[in-house]
Amino acid sequence: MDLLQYILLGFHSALQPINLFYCFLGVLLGTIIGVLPGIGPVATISILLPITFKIPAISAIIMLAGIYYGAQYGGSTTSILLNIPGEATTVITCLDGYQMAKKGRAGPALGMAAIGSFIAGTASLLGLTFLAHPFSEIALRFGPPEYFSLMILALVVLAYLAHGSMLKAVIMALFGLILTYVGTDNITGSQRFTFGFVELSDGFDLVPLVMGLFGISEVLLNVEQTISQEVLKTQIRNLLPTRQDWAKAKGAIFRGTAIGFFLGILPGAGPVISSFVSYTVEKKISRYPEKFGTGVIEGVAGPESANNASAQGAFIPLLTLGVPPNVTMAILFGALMIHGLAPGPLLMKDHPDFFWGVVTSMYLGNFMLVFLNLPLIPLWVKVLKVPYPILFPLIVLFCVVGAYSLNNSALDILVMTGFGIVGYLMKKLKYEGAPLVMAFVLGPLLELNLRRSLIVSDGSFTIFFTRPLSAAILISALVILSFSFLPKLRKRKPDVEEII
Amino acid sequence: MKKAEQITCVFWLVLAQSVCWGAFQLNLGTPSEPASGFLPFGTGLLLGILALVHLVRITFWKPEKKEPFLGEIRWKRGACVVASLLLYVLLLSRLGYLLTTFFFMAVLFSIYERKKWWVVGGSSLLVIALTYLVFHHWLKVQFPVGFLRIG
Repeated sequence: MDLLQYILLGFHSALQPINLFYCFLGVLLGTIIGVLPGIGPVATISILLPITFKIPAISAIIMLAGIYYGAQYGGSTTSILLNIPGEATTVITCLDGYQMAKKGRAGPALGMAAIGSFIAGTASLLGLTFLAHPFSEIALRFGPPEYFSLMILALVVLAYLAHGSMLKAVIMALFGLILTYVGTDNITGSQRFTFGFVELSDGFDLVPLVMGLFGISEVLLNVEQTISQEVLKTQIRNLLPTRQDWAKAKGAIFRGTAIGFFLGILPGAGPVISSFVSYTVEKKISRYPEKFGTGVIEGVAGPESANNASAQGAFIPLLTLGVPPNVTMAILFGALMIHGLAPGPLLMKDHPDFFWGVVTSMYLGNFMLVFLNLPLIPLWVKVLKVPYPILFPLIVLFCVVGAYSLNNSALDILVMTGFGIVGYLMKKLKYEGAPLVMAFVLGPLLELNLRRSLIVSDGSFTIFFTRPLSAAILISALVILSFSFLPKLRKRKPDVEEII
Repeated sequence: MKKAEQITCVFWLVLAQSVCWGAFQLNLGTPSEPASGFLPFGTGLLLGILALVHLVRITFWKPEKKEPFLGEIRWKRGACVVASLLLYVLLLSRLGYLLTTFFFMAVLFSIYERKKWWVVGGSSLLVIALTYLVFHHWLKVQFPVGFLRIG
């Protein structure tokens, strides 16, 4: 089959009424949680994961993917109208978006965010459509050493790009790996770290773990404070940007798309970093950098395009290489495995209807998002006014029911609560959850590939460096590691951010 | 904050040591035939080294200003949420989903401020009805019925 036939097959799957419904539900939920501060796509996908076990795999992944890229659209509304980013990916949009709103230009800012997101998202999907096949062809040449090296690279990049201390990020990744050792050893079948508890013989489930780390811990952090939800009182009119706005923003959208797409593919990077890089680039190349932060439309168009392009580009390594590039993709990786589908090069070959169905559903989802976001902005402003004292009990209940429904066991609620407390303490101590979840998801495959490689090489670790592809990947990881240590060697005293 | 960091490092060290010891008990195998404890041992060892490095850095680090133990914590509401979750786990099989969730939601809705009883009761009932409809009827989740045998 050629590419066009695959795309038609994909649209045939995506246009099934049930899949269209779940696509719409996904992007709608994504927009709502993007609008609402205090709950993000990671928490939402974690919370809704158990629900998807009851629906067909393709519908489930279409919905979960919709939540992810839908949240990138919705997040900008709070940044522009509230100066509170609905998502970490739209933090940078606050700088110029809110200033534009204060000047009475909320409409063009929101409009540009939505249209820029649509253009970038669609361009990124085109990239995914055309690159998926070459990527999976390369991935088919991968053996255990290459997979092991790729996973190490993903973890190293994620740790390198951690917000605070890299040391802490690596510690978190190791903690995530340790959690994967609990249960039955996949190769020998022996029990590890179960301490005689039968309940631990299958190890920790991904769902209570991510629900606790991202859902419950967010609630515990948020209930400490009173979240103010004052919406800027401004007239939202003229959503379509002017010709002058377009002239200024088109370059930013183009550059944001390119930056977002390539950073989205890279393991460890993602929409947050893409949006920051895009803003920095726009400011650097601008003829009036001093005006950034005062309501410049490029400051909205660039980052908003970048985060959307990145969100959709991130599906390339997940679906073609079987390596999730960020934490949301790691949870989607888990969802695919739970549905009996192994992400990787064979997914496209063995389940083309699934693969292309998910990809083409994202084209449809992007269209839905433009229509959901532009005319319904007044509705999202109303959603913003849902008070947190009403919202958080619902989040907790969803987590509780979701965890329970996994095995019809209250023990899963207990595990989720435990990880909720762990997640809360981690955030208080400035440890990131992302490396932990990535390592937890990749851990079993990492161990399997390491042990297989060593068996093949008769115990020689040089196998990772004698195979060209594996060596290239590992050298990239080493280069990234040296990037993080070299500047620190020159400094006499490490700064607070590095230590804490 | 510095003290909290040091305590965390000690926790990592204890965890690392326990993992190494557990891995050793499991059998490490050899590089050509790695056994169940092989990677756990390596992970524990690396965790221990990194925790030690972090502990040394933290110990010699002089913070510019003194910060509270775990930053600013207003723990009452959070503790209330955790306590309700633990009680929920304890009572779920005994009282059943409907009754336990009703009390659970009533507590959560009242955490921020005291509301009129009928507002709390009404909201809790509405939420239970909706979740029961979605999860039990639509998604076929089997909830515990409890001693009252409802649900």
